[in-house]
Amino acid sequence: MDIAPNNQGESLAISVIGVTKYYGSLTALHHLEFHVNQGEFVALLGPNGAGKTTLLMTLGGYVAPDEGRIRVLGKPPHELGAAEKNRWGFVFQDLAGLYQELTVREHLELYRAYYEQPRDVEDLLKTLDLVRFAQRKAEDLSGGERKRLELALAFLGNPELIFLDEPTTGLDPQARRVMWDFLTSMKSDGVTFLMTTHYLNEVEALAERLLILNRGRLVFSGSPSGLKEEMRAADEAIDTLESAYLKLLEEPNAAHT
Amino acid sequence: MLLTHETRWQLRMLLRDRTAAFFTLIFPIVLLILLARQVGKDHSDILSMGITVAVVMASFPALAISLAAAVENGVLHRLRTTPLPLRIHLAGRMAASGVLTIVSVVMVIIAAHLMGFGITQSNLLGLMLPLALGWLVASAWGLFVGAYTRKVSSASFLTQILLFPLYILESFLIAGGLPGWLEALALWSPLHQLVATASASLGGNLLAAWTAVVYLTALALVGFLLAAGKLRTAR
Repeated sequence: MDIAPNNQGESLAISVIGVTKYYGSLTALHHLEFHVNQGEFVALLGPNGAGKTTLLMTLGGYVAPDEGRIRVLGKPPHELGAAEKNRWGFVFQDLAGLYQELTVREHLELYRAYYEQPRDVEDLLKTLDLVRFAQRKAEDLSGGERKRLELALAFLGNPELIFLDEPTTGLDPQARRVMWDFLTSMKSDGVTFLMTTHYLNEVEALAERLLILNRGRLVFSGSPSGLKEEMRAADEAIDTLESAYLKLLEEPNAAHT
Repeated sequence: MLLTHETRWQLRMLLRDRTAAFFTLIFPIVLLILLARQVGKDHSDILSMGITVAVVMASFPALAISLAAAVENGVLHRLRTTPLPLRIHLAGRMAASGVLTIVSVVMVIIAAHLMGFGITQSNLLGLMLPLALGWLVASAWGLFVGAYTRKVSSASFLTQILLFPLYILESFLIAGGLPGWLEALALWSPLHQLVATASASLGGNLLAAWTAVVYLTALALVGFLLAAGKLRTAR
């Protein structure tokens, strides 16, 4: 078994201990410490520039931390081989990573061969409402259609761990609903998620736990209801996740601790 | 198995790019026709030039531009999250350009035959080594330019400013219309060394071009080393 158990004996999909990343004089990640258990849906929140994408890139092995220790599926990210890459999937924020000349179906057929136990292409097209666009080239897809194709590619290998960097940004409500339904069904299948987003209703609908970053520091780790309760103790008017989140970011220690 | 799969898909994508298809498959024949119109020139030199251009066009710009597009669009970034080793992906790109090279060279030879050039079977067999060498040099430098530029527009610009002066130099060199100093420079161009190797092969005496073979092998090695260095960090 290559996934280390935590103190409670649960299997860890991600383990981050004392991770710091500098970009020149800027500290993008400041001594981060958290774990993600197998089967958990964790939302990573924070204002723009908080370090969310840097953290995902570090977990994906694209960026090396300057200090600290990371384990993803039991190994340091830069040491992950084909066996581990069969077990994870990624949706990036800016880089679609699509071949402009290929259609939606062709993308899935091309990438399918890379995995040991891929999902059925037709099934994935249907589930993500992509059948109508299956013959359309990537260069002719709208932003929402492209995002759904990216999600299909991330799930093509039947992963047990998924990193999603703002997967629903720019999607219309209908497309967002299709994606939520899909993520919910994957969650019930035991897939582990680490997702960044700016939509708090999405967090409430999907996530069991929140990690909130501000200026590279982890300022909250707990459940959405836990955040509301904690903020309500300071301000009784707090009644939504959004107001609790904004209140947390207003606190002086949220920015400076 | 994965390499075959990757090659097939990369070839499909290369053929869907109409500009690349034109410059790979048609341009060498156009150049062959233009050179053949020059009265009194040696058919062997002209055919060698046509074949060399076919090899270079099918590998160098095709790989440079498609790889730069892969970096720019995030395809390499995505591929690094899949179990597919990057070396298999790159080998697939090279193999696809190799298939295009063979098709393009065959088209040039057919065109030359139709134009009355004397081509024998033994000559064609002798072309194998220069073809392979040309493909390796052009692929290595195509991969390097693609990984180095990381943008389609830059890769396209760089391949054009590298290739067209070389073509013009070589055309005038064959036609004997270069001043002495420029001729000395043109003799060191990789294109000229490839033409010399192809010409020696067509003449049935590849040994005569051994310095060119060594020079081109070294050039391919340097290109691959530089490309590997760049691709290690390319996202």
